Amino acid sequence: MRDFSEKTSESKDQEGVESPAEVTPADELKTAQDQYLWLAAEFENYKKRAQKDQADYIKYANERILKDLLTVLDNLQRALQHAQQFDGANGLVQGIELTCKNYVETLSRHGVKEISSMGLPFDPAVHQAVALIEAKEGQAPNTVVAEHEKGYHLHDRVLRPAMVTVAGPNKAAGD
Amino acid sequence: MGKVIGIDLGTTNSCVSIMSGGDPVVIANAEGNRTTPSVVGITDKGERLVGQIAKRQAITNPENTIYSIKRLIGRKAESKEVREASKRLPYKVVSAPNGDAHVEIRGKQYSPAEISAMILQKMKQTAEDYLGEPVTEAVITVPAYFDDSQRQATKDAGQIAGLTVLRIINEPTAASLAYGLDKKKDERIAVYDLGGGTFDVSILEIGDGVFEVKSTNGDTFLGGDDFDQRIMDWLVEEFKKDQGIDLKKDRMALQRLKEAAERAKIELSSSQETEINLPFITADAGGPKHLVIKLTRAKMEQLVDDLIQRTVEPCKKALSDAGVTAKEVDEVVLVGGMTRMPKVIQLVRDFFGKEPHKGVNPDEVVAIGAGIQGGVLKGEVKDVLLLDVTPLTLGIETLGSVFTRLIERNTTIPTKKSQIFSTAADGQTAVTINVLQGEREMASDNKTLGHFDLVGLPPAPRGMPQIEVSFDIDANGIVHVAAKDMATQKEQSIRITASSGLNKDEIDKMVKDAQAHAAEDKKKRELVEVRNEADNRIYGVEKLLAEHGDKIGEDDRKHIQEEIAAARKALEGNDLAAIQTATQNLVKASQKIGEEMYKRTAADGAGTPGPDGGGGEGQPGNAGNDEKVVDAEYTEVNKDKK
Ligand SMILES: Nc1ncnc2c1ncn2[C@@H]1O[C@H](COP(=O)(O)OP(=O)(O)OP(=O)(O)O)[C@@H](O)[C@H]1O
Ligand SMILES: [Mg+2]
Repeated sequence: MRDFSEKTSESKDQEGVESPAEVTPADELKTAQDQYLWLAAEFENYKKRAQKDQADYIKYANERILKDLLTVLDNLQRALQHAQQFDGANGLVQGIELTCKNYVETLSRHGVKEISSMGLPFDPAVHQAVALIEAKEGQAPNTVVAEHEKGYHLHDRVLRPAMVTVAGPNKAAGD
Repeated sequence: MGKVIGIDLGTTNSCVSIMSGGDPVVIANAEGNRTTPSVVGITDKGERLVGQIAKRQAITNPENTIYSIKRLIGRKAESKEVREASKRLPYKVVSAPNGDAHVEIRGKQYSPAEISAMILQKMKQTAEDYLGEPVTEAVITVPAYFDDSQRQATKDAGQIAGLTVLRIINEPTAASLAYGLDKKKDERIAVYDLGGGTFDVSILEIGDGVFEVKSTNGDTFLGGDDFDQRIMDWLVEEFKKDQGIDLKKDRMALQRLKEAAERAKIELSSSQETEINLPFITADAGGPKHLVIKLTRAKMEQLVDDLIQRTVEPCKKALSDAGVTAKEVDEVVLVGGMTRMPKVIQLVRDFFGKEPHKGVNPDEVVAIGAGIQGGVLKGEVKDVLLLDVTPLTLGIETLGSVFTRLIERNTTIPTKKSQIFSTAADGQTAVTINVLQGEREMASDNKTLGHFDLVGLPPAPRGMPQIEVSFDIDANGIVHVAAKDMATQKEQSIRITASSGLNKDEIDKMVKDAQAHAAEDKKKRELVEVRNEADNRIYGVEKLLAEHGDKIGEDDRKHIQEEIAAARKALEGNDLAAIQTATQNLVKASQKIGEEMYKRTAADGAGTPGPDGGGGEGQPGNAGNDEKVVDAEYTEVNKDKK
């Protein structure tokens, strides 16, 4: 099996070249030198990449847990919104309000920043379009007209895009 | 020396890896993700968006957002598969002048290779950002079932993206490469790859650092997309029951449903229940409607059960093609994001009777293998050789529309094979080589990959010219076919690129039905052989009669002529027995000539043996027997061009 595979693979022309082609010590030295230089360069590059990898790893190590925690914040905010609408401002509502604020600040200390979206031009780099509606009077086309879920950056990366409704070009909605 | 990147160009997601410090690493893209959605969007400003970004704007731009392009690559627009696929795709699929499926975006046509190139470019960029140096060479993977034109189109995509594609390798082979590097003992491995759009199963043997694919099978139209679709259909149904509104007609709603369905599916791989929550999914006179539906794992498993079961048949076939039983498989490797689904794992476990290997990240293992192969090509990884197999039998059409096989399916590639053929008519100066792929006995039941003519043969009696037809499949699975006239050394060849792709249906038809139709095919072939035999006899006897007819009596001559007429008459019909009888009668009658000639030569004292009833030189009578010379259906080019 091995013979067969060697014959049929890249080393096809090996048979012809192999036999009498005399390999001088100079050739051997040159090959070894090439290999050495190549390996050395590869090692240098590897070191650089490893350093960058490690820096990135530390910077984004919390990415997953932070992302999961966002859903808790979402629900806290939904509860708050509901309470404010129907119960007005009492002590409990105020307390939740402060907790939310506290939450956002804590996240921010770890590099999590809110993404703005309302009224801005739709930008798929940070916005996830979940609905498209016809632009109404006074709405510029291709802008975010509703935000269903807040988006967040973690340092330079999008931790989670904002879930938004986009106003389409003036009469291009559904078909 | 630049790096060679390995790219898994998936239906749903693509992934890139590279050898770094002697080990393969998967490279995360600028957004920090290790896989990139195979999605391309073109904005109204003509800006190209690739990957996650394209996916996020899909809803605002459904007609100009291309996903699952791998379903179209290298296929004809009129093929059943493309038509089926385009029903579900929100973008426009059109037919290019050459019949290929293209997509139309904002009034401009793009080939699937161009779209794929945009994805490849993104993967290239990802690697360059990571390496801090330009990348120009790549190894790209394709499903084992990809035929020649699909492989070629994938290669073209690489080229458009500015990459020299050093190799196209099969996904399961790449996966086994990633796996085999860790364990270098002799093993027989089954690779079960259920991805976003395709299912592949392969049986491989690993030993001594040599990989050999023993067999492959699969389903080019079975994957996570279908699971999502099932969940989507169910959601639409439930919503209809609940709200009386059909979401199927609402493209925008479908986009949201698709994403939600996939999210639910993924969620259910780790939890028992999930809630699909789509506020403002639609609206009617009564105001906005929200979709809120609970889905349990058990319910989902029920929805997709038949899809999972559909993977069983290909597994069985792969085993039987490799000539092994499930028990003889040492290790089972899971590949593809869908193999994270517990029910899938259970099926594989039950089928092979052993715990599948999940030590590798299933959606990265193919890219890792491609990266390793890149390293092999650059000499970074030693002692690993890669052997793939050809998924279907290759051959040419010969006299009577018979499919004559040159390279059997599951032959390890690269490989080369040649056979000598001849002409079917006197004075024939050109032959048409019709290259076919498939498992059936008759040419017409198989797929034409391409054809070409070898012209300028010196006129000669039929059966005399010797034409060597050679098939050469390179390491990328791309087929080169050449025909050479041994007398003049004239040669013609094609590299099969513009062939129409083989769709899943056809592959099924060929591999499955080849067995189902075995008896019927055999009969058809027999009939052709008998006809060819009769035809040859008539030819021979007529020739003999023309040359030596004067040596026999008037009555005998008339009798022979009658038998010739009778044989011709029989040939007009399709009655095997009648043709056989007429042929026998003709042979018997024609022996008179031989007898007379013997008598004369004996009388003349010369020792030359007379011809038997058949006569003619290089008589290639029994086409299909193990003779070196076989009739090929080489009709005059201008007379009969198919
Ligand atoms: N945890 C999970 N549970 C179930 N399915 C999953 C999970 N993770 C990913 N998937 C599914 O896996 C599929 C993608 O798999 P993968 O990335 O291997 O496919 P691909 O390589 O793009 O496709 P193909 O091999 O068919 O070209 C998608 O359908 C996705 O929904
Ligand atoms: Mg895949």
